Amino acid sequence: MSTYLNDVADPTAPPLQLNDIQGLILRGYNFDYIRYLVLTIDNTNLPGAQSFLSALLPGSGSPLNITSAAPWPNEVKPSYCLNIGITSFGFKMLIDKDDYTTVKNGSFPLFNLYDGGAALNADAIGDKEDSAPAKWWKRSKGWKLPADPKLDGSDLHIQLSIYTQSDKERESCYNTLLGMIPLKDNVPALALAFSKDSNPLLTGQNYIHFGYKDSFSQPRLSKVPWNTKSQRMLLGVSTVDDRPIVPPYNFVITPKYFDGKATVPNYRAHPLILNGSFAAFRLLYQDVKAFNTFINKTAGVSPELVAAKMCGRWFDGTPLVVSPEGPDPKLKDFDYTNFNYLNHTENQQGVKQNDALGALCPYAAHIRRTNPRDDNMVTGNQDNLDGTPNYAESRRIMRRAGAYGPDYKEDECPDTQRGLVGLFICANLASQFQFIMQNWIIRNSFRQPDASRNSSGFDPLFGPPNDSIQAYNEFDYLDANSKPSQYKKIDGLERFIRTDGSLYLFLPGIAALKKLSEGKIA
Amino acid sequence: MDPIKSIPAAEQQHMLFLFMPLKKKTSPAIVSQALSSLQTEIKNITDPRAATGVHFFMFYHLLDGQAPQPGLPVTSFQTMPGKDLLVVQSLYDADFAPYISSFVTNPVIAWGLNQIVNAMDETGIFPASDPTSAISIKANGGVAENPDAFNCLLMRYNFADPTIPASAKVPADTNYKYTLGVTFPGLTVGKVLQNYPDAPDLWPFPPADITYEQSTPPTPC
Repeated sequence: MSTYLNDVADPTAPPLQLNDIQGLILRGYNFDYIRYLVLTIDNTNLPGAQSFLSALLPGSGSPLNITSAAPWPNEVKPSYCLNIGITSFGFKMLIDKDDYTTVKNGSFPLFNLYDGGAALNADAIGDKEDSAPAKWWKRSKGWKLPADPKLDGSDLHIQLSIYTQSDKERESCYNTLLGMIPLKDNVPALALAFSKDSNPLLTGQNYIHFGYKDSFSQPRLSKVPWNTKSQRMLLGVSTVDDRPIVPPYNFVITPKYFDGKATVPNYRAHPLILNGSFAAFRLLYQDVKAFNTFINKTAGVSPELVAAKMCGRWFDGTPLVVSPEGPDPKLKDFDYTNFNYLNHTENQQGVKQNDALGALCPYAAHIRRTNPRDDNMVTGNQDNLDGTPNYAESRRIMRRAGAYGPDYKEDECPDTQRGLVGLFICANLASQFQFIMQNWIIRNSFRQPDASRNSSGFDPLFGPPNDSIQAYNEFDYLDANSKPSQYKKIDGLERFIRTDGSLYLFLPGIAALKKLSEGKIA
Repeated sequence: MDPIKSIPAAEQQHMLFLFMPLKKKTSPAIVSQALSSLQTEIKNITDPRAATGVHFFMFYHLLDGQAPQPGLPVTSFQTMPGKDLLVVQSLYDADFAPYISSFVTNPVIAWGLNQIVNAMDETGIFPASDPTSAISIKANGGVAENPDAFNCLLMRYNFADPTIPASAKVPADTNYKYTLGVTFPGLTVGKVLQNYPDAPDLWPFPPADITYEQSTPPTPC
């Protein structure tokens, strides 16, 4: 019997302290009804805020508690899950200034982006012009405070996510949660600043507004109990999984250890942040009308093909490198993720063709640039020291996001708000989240060599902020029908995804949350 | 074909201009070995030139107390008393962080960069306890294990601005602190390798041994 990767990976890694790690970092809950809340701490009632955080701790006896990563008994889902993130502005309110500096300096480089927050670092990831911080929050119609949002995001302190299986349960949890916030002189210690619901679309579960099925290729973590072969077989989950292992320290902040080759991870961590993580909370408006117009604008080319070339998958999730001619309804389970771009994986279905030239899946395609897999010609994805593919191991992001807003209708009100909302989780915001955005999504030339005339331009699913850079205004892909193969150029690429809000969050471990609720760091 | 009117950041050329303090009497061999790792000693790896995007570089090791042009009273670059100085100048493609990252993730180049880090002396300049100090980087496994710290270290001694693009004509209405010129803006190393006829054969990797004819200096004045 072949060795199952999860059973043997990272033998020297410290065991995960599941009771101390927030659940959403390590597992997708797969709940359909989610509410994302952003709260502002009343600076005249800090004890009230601390009391609220204390009440959220598991075992506090409160009606709602933060969900840890501890396995669910018999793998039966709880009726709700609840998770918390804290902005640097909130962090600084909860503890002494010197203590914050101590934690920050002891955690290099993890606070480099987090400290200033998402607004300060917006330019670096392309959040400018119509996506600039000055336009965040209110436009999406989720803003709840009478005052306008502050430009630097300093009025946003706590982010909570409620996960339930029905709208009714979500409403009930929400009311319970708000009822737990202490009052002083009838003023809540934390005021609701922003709220946004994520609901399943009519298209189907895990679909996004552009029409694609989403959430296929999450990082495969070692050391989590539900990923062992025996557990997966018990749960009826396929074990034909070719995804490479990603060490959990890229998501759960871990003390340094020797993994047999090197000392990892390459960050330092103050004890307070151990078992925590960082995340970018993103509110991304999606312009479905503009997207539909773009994929339909080229005579003789089907919109499904253009959309597939832009994404790297057909609408149903079939990867282009597996099935370049069209969706393959026979695919199941990990068939959607078992593939590489250069050398096919063991269980890869379909054509099994080396796609070094980007003839099947363009370099520019969204899934190729956000996870280049074994393509070692991509900047930041060079092979490991021993010559094995890196599989973008140190760049991966855990996505916990879903659609918001109603399904698109052609005759709808032009101001209808819809998009994607959720958390993009990683240990190092700079080398993971920002790196992907800055170097692979909003820049061309992320891969060398690249023979396309615009060096693969801007990620076509996002689209450029304006038309000032010619290379960003077009989407080019190799046309399989031309002999010899030539690039097909579609002009008029425009911004299809607009940022309407963003926060950089620390997702504390349970022990850290307790400390923060006491205003301590040790 | 229309002329190039816009250049994405990833195709721009930028300047690196480092003045790094070294330990007094650092052996020139340290610098030359580091240089070798950047060039000729790289074997059995994929051609890194397109990924690193280096158009040229200069390493100038100045020993403590020496002046580049002794006898000339004009102040040029100079050593900090008690330390050697390493001046590094380079023109490179794209942004600073991925440029540096493409070096530190290459084990041979990382070895050479570690030699430089080990030779650095930041005493009296920067606290050793800071995670971005040369001593901290060395103590914690070197540049590959500390890529963010290494970026910070380089930027501390980088007198160039990694956001000023090299341009073919002086841009109007900018507040750039210097003018950086280049003949072919946007022509990356990757594009040269890809589009110049027979480039990989003419300039193979690793480089071929080349005989350079003696150049002629101007007539002495």
